Amino acid sequence: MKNHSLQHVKSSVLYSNGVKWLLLILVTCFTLGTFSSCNSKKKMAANDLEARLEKAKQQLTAIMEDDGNMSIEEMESQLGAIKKQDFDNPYVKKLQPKVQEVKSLMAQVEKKIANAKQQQIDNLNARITSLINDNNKTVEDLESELADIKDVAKKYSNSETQNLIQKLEEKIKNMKAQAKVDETIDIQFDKIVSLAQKNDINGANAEIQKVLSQFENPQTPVLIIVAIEGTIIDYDKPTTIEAYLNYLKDQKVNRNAIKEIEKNALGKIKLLTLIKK
Amino acid sequence: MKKISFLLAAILTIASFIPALAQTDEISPARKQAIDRLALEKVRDLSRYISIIGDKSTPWSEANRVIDRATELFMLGSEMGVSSVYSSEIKYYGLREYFNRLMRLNYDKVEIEWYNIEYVSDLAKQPDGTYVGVITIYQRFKAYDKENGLVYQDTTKKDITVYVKRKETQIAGKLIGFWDVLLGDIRVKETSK
Repeated sequence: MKNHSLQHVKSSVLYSNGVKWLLLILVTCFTLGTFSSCNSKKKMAANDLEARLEKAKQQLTAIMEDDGNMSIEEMESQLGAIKKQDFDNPYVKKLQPKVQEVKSLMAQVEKKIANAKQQQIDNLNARITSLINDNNKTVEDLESELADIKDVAKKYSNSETQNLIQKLEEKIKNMKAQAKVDETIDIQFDKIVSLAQKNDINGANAEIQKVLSQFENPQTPVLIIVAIEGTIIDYDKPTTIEAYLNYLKDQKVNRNAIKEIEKNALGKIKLLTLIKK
Repeated sequence: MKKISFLLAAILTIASFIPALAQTDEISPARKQAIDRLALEKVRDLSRYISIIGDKSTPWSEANRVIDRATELFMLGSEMGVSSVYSSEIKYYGLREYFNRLMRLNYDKVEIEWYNIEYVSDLAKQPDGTYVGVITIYQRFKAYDKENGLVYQDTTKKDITVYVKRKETQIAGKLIGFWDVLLGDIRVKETSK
């Protein structure tokens, strides 16, 4: 019985030691396996990061070297996609210089985009300013340009551009109001001519008085443009509104179109500029 | 000797600039065309004024106003030639006197028409910068009285000298460059029935 017990104890000890060894071997294998797998994953991550960094570098360099073929939107889209990527992997120390290089390129591209945007805003503002100062464009021309400008301006929320657009809109509004006045005066000019053609001198004189009431005084200057070439404007000898209205009556023909009307604070015309039809 | 060489060099330098200055002073064909038209228009204006002044139905005050306008078209001291089919003599009158005589012609109705108004000598630039040309016109004159109807008519070819000079003036604070067109003597070239 004792022997049997002793043998049982011995075999238990042996069994217990075997399990221990087996466990030890298993733990060792697992540890070794995990370590090997970790190393492999790290390597894969490093390779992936390196490839992404290389691609990003190529894209950013292409943007930097582009001399105007790429649109700002395209540059922004590419930069945005690159910025979304995570290049910060502290375990891949050897790629850190490349990460820094890509980050530096991203900053340069951002600067290039900002400069290109500013250049476009400057060009747009110069275009609007030129339209505000251009007195040869018609209302239709200006309205068409304004629609195009507003379309472009949507991309940039620039306060100076918005102010200039407001000024251009104001100019168009004034020109439309002016056109109504021009039309009224031109109709009156035609009426004087029509009455004179019918030899209705009294009727023509009455119409002249009506027109004169819209001017500062009968001596209000009237300028007649005979030619425009670049910045050079050639006028006929300046006359007065009274003399001009009588001229229409005498010559029985309206040879000039209204170019510009300047009014005083009381709304009376202080200068009338005509142009040969 | 050095002084002479320096003087010669200076003269040559200045002389080389003269053609360039003259060139910049020239006007473009488009602007020239505009002043050609302007001068013709002034002659057409005069034609209409003469017709109004001669028209017996024109009120006296209107005729006098038109005489003032017509006189303003001329250079001071200009003359108008007057001829008749009954005489070879051509009389010249000062413009105001001519217009006053025209207004007082002793007919019941007068019709004056100018036609074929065109340049006989193009406007050419003179050394003083004035453009001078000659425009020819044909004038058909018809006079009527109540009893006998048409009592006199003639057709006269007349040459008008035109002077065009660019001037500058200030209007409402703006410097205005304008072409001052003035008519000179109107000379009778031929008269026929």
